[in-house]
Amino acid sequence: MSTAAWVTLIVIGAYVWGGFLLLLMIAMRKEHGKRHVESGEERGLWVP
Amino acid sequence: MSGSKSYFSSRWALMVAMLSMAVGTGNIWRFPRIAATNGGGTFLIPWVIFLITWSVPLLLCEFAMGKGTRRGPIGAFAALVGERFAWMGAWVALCSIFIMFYYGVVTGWCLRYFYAAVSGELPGPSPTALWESYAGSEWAVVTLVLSIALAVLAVGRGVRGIENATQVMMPVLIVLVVVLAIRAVTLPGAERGLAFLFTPDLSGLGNSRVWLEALTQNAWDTGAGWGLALTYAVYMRQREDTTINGFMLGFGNNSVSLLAGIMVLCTVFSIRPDAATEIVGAGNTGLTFIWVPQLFAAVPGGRLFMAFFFLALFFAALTSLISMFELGARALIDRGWTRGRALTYITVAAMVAGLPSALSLPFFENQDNVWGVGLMLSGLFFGIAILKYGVDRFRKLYVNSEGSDITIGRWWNAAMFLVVLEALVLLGWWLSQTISTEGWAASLDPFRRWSLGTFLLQWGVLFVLLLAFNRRIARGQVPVSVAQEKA
Repeated sequence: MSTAAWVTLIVIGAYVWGGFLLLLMIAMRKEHGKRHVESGEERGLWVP
Repeated sequence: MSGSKSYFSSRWALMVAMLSMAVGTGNIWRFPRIAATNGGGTFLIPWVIFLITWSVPLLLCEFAMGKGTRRGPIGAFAALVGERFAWMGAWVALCSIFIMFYYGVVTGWCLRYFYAAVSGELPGPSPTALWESYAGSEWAVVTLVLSIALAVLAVGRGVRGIENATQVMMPVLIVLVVVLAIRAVTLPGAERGLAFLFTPDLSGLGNSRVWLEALTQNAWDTGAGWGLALTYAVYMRQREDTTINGFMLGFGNNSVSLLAGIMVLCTVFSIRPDAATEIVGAGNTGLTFIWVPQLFAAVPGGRLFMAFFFLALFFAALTSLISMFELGARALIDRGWTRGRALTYITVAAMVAGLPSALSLPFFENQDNVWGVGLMLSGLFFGIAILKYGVDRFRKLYVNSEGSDITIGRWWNAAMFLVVLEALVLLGWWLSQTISTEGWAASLDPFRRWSLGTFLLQWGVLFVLLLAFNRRIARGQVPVSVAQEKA
């Protein structure tokens, strides 16, 4: 494979796959945060 | 169905269902072929540009309209821009329903080929033997009926049925595509396929056809502008995010396409580099149902991988078919029908209207073209509706709604103007090119399979009917609370 093909593979792969994984990570963090707020954990209201 | 059951149980259930709707045969059989015939690496550049300037803005719009109005396409357009524009929503819905009529046939083909791969019928005595004896025969009708039955089984149980079906099929589909892609890149000579897919030729970007294909591929494989994401968004919880989810759907879908491109092209260039151009130029059905069995037959352990390929294709098709049935059912539920009654009518319509496509490949190809290009009008109507409502107002009230993880800025306003511009320019370009290539007389002949005339005739009839019955279409909507109770 030529250098140009490798560069395209890395750039497109990072954009599409990397973009998706980054968005997934952000969504997981946000969801985790929402669950904490809902359960009252952030306000110290967690009940066993 | 009670209100609590009318929502996806979690964000992940929603996203799996959304991804299963977007990932269809367009990702697995169309993307590799379109990428290969439009310059490989050259095609990928406009393809990623249109992901962010067509697919993502429209997906954000669909998420926001569905969640904001809690109605399917017809009701959402009527609620947002007024009853006078309900016909636009009806166009979006009917375009997807007309696609559903022949998509059931495609789903049936995939099911039949999965069975043939498992039973050892493939690759068969000659490359075309199975395809010639099956396509267009009464067996294609049998597999159409089976596919419809499976889709109805999921949709009949409402959101929970859709959730359960997609949560099984979507992860399996992803695993199968990843396994097949890994197998493909580890075949001897696979680097030729990678080089073909990723080597750019910047001079090719001057060819308008590459840009048109990149846009239609984005419209086809992300499902942006189909009204399907809007329909599933009706069942989002109020505090659910619309912004990150919209982006994730577009990027997740295109991630699968890229894997499928690697999977197919590495296999083609490894097994038959001499016939690579002929294979990728053989059309969707030619590539998938005639060449793929031959390619896998030459791979060590090929029967297993062939079965994996057709199972992945079947799951991709079935989960998308499920979303189309839900769209049809939703449109009727919004009119106060029960889910059971709505689904009965949609099922009968799908079986009757799917028959000509099952029995005649020319008819199938005609419908595939007419309503496939019609999706560009669907995207245009979404754009027009948002501009009419007020693009900035819509962004503030609907896109950046309660529960959104990030705030979408003014760039989205510009993106929606761009969506309208893209649709108009590309439709104009398509019209002018068709007429200049074929001449007025030939291009306007309505009885040729791919003529401009057949497009204009079928679109024209639908337009006239929708405009004539617009008032009736708009006024049949019942209050959201009533439709939810009856769902």
